[in-house]
Amino acid sequence: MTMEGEKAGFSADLRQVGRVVATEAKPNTAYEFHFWTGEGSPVGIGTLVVVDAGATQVYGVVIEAWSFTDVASAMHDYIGMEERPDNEPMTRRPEVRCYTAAVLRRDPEEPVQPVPVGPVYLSDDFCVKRSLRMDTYAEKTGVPIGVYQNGEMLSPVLLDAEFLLGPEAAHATLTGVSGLATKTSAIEFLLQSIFATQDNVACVCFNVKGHDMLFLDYPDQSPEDPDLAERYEKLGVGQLTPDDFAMYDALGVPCEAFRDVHYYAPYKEDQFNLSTLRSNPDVTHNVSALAWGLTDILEFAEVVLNRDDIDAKADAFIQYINQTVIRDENGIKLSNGDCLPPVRTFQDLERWFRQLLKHLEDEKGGRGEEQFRTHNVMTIRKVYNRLSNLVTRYRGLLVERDERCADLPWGEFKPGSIYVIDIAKMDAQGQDLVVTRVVSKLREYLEKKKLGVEKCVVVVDELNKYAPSDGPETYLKKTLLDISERGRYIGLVLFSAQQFRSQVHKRVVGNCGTSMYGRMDMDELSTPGYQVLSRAEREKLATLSKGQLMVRHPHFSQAIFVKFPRPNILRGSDGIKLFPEAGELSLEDVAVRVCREYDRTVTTDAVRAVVEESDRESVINALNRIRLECPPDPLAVLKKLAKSQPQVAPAGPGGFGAPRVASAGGDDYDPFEKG
Amino acid sequence: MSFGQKLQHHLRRNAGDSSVRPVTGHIWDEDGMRLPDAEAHTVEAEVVEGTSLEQREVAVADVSGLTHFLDGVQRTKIVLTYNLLPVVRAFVAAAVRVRGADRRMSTFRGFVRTREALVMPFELCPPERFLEDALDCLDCAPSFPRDMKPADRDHPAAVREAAHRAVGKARAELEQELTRQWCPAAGPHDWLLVDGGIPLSLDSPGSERVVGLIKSHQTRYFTGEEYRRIMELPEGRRTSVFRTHKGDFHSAYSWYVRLREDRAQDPSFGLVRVEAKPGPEAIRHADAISAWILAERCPVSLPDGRWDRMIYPIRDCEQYLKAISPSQVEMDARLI
Repeated sequence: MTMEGEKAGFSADLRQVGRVVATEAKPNTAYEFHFWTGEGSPVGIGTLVVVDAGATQVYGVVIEAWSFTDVASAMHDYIGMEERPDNEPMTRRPEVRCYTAAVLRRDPEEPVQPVPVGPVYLSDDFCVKRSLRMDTYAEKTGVPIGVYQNGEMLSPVLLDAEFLLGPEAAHATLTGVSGLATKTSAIEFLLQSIFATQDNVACVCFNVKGHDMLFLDYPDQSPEDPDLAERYEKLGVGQLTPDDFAMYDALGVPCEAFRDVHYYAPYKEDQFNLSTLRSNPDVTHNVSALAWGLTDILEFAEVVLNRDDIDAKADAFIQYINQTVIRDENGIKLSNGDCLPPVRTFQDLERWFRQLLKHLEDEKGGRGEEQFRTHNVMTIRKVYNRLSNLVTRYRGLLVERDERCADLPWGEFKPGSIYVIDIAKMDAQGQDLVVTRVVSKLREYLEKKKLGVEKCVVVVDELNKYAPSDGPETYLKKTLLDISERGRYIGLVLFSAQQFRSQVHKRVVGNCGTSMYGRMDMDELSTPGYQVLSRAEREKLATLSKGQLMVRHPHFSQAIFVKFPRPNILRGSDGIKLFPEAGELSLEDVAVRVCREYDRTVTTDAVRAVVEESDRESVINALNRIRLECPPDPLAVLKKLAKSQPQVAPAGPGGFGAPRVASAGGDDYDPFEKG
Repeated sequence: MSFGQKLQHHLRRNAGDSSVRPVTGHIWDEDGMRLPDAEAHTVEAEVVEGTSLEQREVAVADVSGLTHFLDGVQRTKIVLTYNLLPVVRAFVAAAVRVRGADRRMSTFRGFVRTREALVMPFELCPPERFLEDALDCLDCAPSFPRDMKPADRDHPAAVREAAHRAVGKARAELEQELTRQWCPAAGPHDWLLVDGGIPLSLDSPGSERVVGLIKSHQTRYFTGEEYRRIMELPEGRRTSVFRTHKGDFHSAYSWYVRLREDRAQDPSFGLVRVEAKPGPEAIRHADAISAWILAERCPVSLPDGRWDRMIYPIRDCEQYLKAISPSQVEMDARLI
């Protein structure tokens, strides 16, 4: 150790493992140097080292390794070993192990000179901090991402929140093969770190497949509840190891499940069972419905209608409905003095179209009017046809009436909360609609600074599906591009995971400040985007174990390999074993369950009695209201809102015609009644 | 300050002196260009094991008892002329390398010697001007042939040859110095193999465990039928032990061993001569020493041109000494 090294703060216990070597064939540069080590030294790809060359200290990360002996060719060895591979030579040939390291940092920073020849030491905590420039932000804005492990030593590696969550840079992307890359675990741990170190951040996750993110609020380790603990033990749940706990200790992140998680799922077609695998009664206390009405989705009509559906004329008419019809509270006056009804719901829209079209047919003495406010009647009919089909196409997510609408708590997001939207059972177009609208609303609220939190992380799995590098310019892709480019200024942060980074739109990945890589596929690694990595780094990426990541971050001059602990979160596959999906329930059973969720004293019989006497639709509306408002006396609400069973009118004299549903109370409007 | 730096300093200080001219581009003369240690000749030897020189079986040994290995190197290069006389820069070094329990070679602690000097005939090129700059000097005049005519003494080629001989002698002195120092420093079960002949008058305790391995056959010890038996020695066999100089009781005991045989090659292919301190111990150990040397055939010393006779630990010594030698590049750069 030189005096300058001691002054720089190096510990006297730093372990020397090698010496820098520069040859004419392999010279050192300002950004790369070579060194050799003894045979037993614990140096490998990704090892952090420091060169103490007196006036200059250079920090580096090993990116390439090679070794050789003095044997000139395999033939020489073959002859020398008497053509017998099992021959034990009297003298072992010297084998030199050489490494190439990329420079992470140098002290002093200027002048930038080739790395001088000098002793090479293994980095300790202090050196890891210096080499990754964490000393400039660790205390204020550090977010643990994992540990750099060197033998027994675990050095925390921190990301800078200002470059992860904005405003300097933002977004993170995680790439790796399915199953082995631990993408979901890595994102879960990163969220735990963010919540442990940063205030005023919430997260929205889209569960797009299976049950990956459906048990974020349950720990992987045996819980305190003895009954649940027994079930954990019976199923062999709980895989955290002492190494994981040691990493949690080193990183200062609490080893616990997320405390505040809310789940949202659309209805099934029956409109009262939720379309989610998290339907076991033991875990539905924080599961809410996600149901949108006309006003919620009309501005995203581009997403839900095919491109063929929306030509310029249709688009113009939809814009007219969105901007004029829906906002007009008094109704639009027609030329005959009549007034079209105001529109808020799909039901209203149906009535509005019928009345408008009837008016147009009756105009000009029955000859019909061709246009309405410059929109051709054919265009109006086409838009009517497409919009009226939406509720059928997205049944469960889109609802005809406002009473059934349920949404995320816009404006009331809480710090440290996770809002999981389970869209795994929806078709691709439905998923697009949900992601697009949620992200757009987040942007809208964050821009107004009215979301309830300063920053919101949006977790999107399979980003290559939503923002592919090729394919059409969809509304969702444009939204994601916009977030990636502007999100850091408003606090909207995108955490994405995908198998193939090369298939994600360049501008999206290009704007990600932090990139993480788990186990990678060799085909993916052979694409041009990975050519900046050395061959050894690429090969290491192809063989990474679970729990290991390669991280690139604006403060790190080079990619760094880290380990992170298994999140103390129940894995989806274990969760579904512990809390099996409940079968589809009858409306009565759903009503009982919903009411008892808010008042355990409610009896099954009392609820059943109300449901049996009431109109099915009104019960569904009432249940939705209970879910939204969480009243202390849900039975009273159910009784108040559920209407009596409709009376079936007798058939006409000829016995033909559909039975007519008679209104039985408060609902004074029949959508099928002729105007 | 290194020798090269001192030389550079000297040349710069004498830049205006027309009698001194640096010489660049001269190739650093390594061992391959070394003059032969001795001229080809025949001496009369005396068999001391049995009555006549015979070919003897050697039992196969799985391991070698040789533990230490000694070799030296010399490098010469004309770096300047003084009044048109070549002045040679010489580097000589010797080292003992030891084989550990892990079968890896390392330097025996404290057993490395190096010397760097300018070599010239002092009578024609006074060393004082170089000594002023702390440049060590070596007189090569004693290495002129005794029968040299006075007129030839300032012939550049004669000076070069004399310098080579003087440097070879300096190297041999280093090797002998290390050999003598090894004897008291070594353990009771250690054996030293020296590249080349063993020093004369080696009589300290432990010297019976010093063995020389000679790869060149400039000196012939037998003629006629006995010479034929040596040249036709089969692989893995040795000859009887003989005294290298008949009637000289100080001369070493020696025997030939065939390491490798290839009838398509020169008869001396794979043939080495072993030397040991004279005495009954040498005869007693001849079989074991031969077996150890045969065991040293693996690994092979390729790509060295003398691989058929060079055992790997000696090549290792050479590689080590080569690594600590001054480089041609540095030397040339300092002469500009």
